[in-house]
Amino acid sequence: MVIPGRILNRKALRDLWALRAQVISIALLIASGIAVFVMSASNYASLLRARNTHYAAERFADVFVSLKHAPLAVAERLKLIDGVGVLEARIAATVRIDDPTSELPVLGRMLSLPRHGQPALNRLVLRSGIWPDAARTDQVLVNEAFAERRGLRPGDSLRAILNGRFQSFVVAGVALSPEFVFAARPGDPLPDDRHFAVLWAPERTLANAFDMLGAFNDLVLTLAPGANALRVMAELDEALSRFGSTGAIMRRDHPSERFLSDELVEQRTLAVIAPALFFGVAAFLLAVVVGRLVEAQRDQIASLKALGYPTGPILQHYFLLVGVIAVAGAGIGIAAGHGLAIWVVEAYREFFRFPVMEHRLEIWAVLASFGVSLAVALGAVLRSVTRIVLLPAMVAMRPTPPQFRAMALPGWLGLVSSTRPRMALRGIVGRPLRSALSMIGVGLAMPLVVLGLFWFDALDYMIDMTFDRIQRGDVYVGLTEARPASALEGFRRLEGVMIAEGQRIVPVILRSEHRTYRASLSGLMPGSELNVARKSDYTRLPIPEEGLLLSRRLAERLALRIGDNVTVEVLEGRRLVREIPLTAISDDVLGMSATLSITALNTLLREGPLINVVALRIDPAHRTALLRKLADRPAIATISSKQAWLALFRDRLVGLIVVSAGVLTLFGVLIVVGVVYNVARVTFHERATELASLRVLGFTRGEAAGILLTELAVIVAVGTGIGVALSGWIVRVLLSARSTESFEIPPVIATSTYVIAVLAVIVTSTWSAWLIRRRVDRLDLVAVLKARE
Amino acid sequence: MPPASRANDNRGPDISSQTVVFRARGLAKTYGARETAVHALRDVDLDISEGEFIVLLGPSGSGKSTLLNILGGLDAPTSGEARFRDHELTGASEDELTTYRREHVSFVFQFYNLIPSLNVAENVRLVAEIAANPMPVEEAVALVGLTPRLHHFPSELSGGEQQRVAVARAIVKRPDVLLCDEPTGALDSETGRLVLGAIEKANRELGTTTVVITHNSVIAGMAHRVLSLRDGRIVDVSINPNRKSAGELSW
Repeated sequence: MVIPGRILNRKALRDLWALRAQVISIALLIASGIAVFVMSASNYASLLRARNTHYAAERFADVFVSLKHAPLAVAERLKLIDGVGVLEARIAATVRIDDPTSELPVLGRMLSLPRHGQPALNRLVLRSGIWPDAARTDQVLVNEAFAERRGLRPGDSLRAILNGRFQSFVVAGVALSPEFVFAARPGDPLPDDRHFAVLWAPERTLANAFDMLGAFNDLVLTLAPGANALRVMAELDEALSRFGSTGAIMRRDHPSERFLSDELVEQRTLAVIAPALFFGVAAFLLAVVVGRLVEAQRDQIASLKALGYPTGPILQHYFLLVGVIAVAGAGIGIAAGHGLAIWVVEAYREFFRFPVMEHRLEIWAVLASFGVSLAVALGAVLRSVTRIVLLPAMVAMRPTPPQFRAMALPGWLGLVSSTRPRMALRGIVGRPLRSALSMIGVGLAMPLVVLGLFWFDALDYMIDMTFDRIQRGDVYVGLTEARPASALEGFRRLEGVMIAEGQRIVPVILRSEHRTYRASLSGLMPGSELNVARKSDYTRLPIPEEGLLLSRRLAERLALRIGDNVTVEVLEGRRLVREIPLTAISDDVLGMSATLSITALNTLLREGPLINVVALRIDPAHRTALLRKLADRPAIATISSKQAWLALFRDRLVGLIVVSAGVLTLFGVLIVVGVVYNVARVTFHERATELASLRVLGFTRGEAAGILLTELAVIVAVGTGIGVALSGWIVRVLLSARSTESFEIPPVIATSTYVIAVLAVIVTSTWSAWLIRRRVDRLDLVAVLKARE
Repeated sequence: MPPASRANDNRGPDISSQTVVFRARGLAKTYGARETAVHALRDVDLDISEGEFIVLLGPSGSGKSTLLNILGGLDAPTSGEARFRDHELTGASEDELTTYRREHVSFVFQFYNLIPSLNVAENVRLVAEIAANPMPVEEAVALVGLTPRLHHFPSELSGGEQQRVAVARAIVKRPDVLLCDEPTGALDSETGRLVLGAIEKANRELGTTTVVITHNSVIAGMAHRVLSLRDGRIVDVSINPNRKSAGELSW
């Protein structure tokens, strides 16, 4: 017996071939959405799996406390606190690594290893070499990122300054730790592996160097199952405050973990938002193209039904046609997404150091891709297909040319006096839904191009705002301890220093009701040249004499308005607590800053005019010599240079941005071509008779095509307007969805970006228009006019 | 007289002494090539005089539409020559043919081919806008008796009314030639007569040279000259000594 669908399926495939250009453009849109989805979903899963495996295998701690100095017996007592699981005390110190070739000082975070074997928590993964001999004080383990960047191997030597004394070490091995998956120096937004190392040495090494025999200054612990983290932390803080604790922090506030979770949030956002955009456009195009196809074939459907053909196979063969597009799109998208994901995982290795980070094609993502594509595609055509296929044969036989009626058309069209523009406008107004959707389609494509390009604008703005207008110093020098402001004179006398300004910076906890935030509170000189608070329009904001100045994001995070009181708890020295009113809010781009006048901060700390950071404006000609001179001073703990930071920033981010901008722009162009070309094709088919009539009436090819192209031009123009309006909004939505604490990209879009995006729309539209124009030229007048509508 | 030899008689303007506007010699049109080639027209010679009303009769596939399309500059002959006054139609470029149609020719087809998004007046004005010497739109619409329907859209009109709009659109530019391919094919006889009346009026009052294709031999009664085609050749020419008006026809 012959299965009735067989021949029809062949028809479906031939229809696909006839519509191939449109089919391909729609499949590519589906593919783009799926590619982003598969990429983000796989990245999310890879990252999550790598993190969870690493954290579990190496027993990453739940709570971290750092303090000044406490006897080990205190740690023993802390183990008895209800809710503490495993607790480990250790010694942590900042050391300087000796490198005469480096312009900037290289800092190291040195952590003690227990007397026997691995630590109980935050265990290390030895990548090469051997475990240091606990009896020796000249062996260290080095973190992999630094070792790779510096070409260090087991057996190589390394000199470091510990507590002011040079000491030579041998690299015993290279290691990874869950604490330093993202190994950035505290306060740096990006890892600078060249200038920051993590070193692990046997306890004796640190105890000797830092006078910590029988003592500790760092605690890590896990919580017992069901423990109340906040209560455990409160007890720790209470017990350790007299030992100089800066307060316990939870795992989620640990810098490495915070960066990781930010990235996870970002991938999750991307996995949802971008595909939704593509699917929306693809669904619309499928509805239009397949709707038109079915409409054009209604007499075929009618004759099949009149011949007694069952409805099922007819419906089914249209769904087959759509299904092929969806499955092909999903297939291409999965392959592309897989490729992109492999590339991104490679890029991740620069930032995130895991023992194992495998990229796996997630089966659920593949299934979801096919499922969602099919559902979206079938859903898009369901109405138009069933509406016609289910019509009784006799009704379907009657053609339905577009029903224009005087009443339904707006009167203002009469104002267009010439007949041909009027035809074009009525073409748009006569199909209001489709025209509106086409305009929205173009309007959605433009933001994608903008989304790809605005990063450069945002970056420029951030760099300009942060480095040219807010932190205007060339070099920032951190002192090992607070010193009298008179020390500035010494800096001013150095050759090459043009301006030297002192700052006092202390770690604090800011509280407002139940909200708290750990921040660095900066005391600035009121008339400071090198550190200026600004509003987003660049106007200078004076440093208040008495009150507190917060960056907008910090004020929002603490739900504070000007005039509200903030509890400031100093995490240093006597741990003073005071209420200070919020008197100003600034628009910083990077970080969450809290500022007081330096006098107010000195008063708050009950100290004299002390400073612990010196900001310098220097003469570039003396830069190298000056940095060298500074690096040799024992009182100086850290030196950061704007130039080095910018280089790192560009090196790490710009490459990534160029690629993602390219990909997004490509996607945007795909959408524009998809929308404009498909709408044009469908309109062309609907109007073939009209256009042929015009040609027969003596209109030239250009004049006939002109009507169609005018219609498209209006759609594109309105769509572009919508696009311009939507761009800012979409950029803001995406940014706020991905906004994380460490980094907020300002929604700054330069005019040139709009111009490029509009040009992209114009160029792709012109290209589509040219393709349509060719079709008009080739129109077989006789054949079209002889055929019945 | 055998049909073939009578076919060669159709050169002279024997019903009128007017000038010849159309002149075709050895016109042939072949579609496809080799085994699948279809000879739509074979070696047709034809002269048409100014103001003449010609009806082309013949079964499907006899070549009458092909002939009409070549005369109207919609199609090009494979060989032979065709000329309208000083326009050489053989070998003309697409743009030259467009200019020719624009300046001299109007068509009426079986399926009206009106622009659905334009109302009656606008459909007619569309052509008036590109014509050198059009008549007022209202006048063309009045000629087909549709003045009360001036602002209706095609979807609001009956088939016969739509075809009359097509005729008004065809005559508004005062064409030299009006070519009609089955203009009443989709209409009942009463509406058909109204449409033919409008075509006849244009021929009589404007002096438009008119060629009408039809299956319906009754319509041949209106013509000055009736050409019958079969297998791509003109096989019979007859001249009406007593032409009937459209209103006198019945079928």
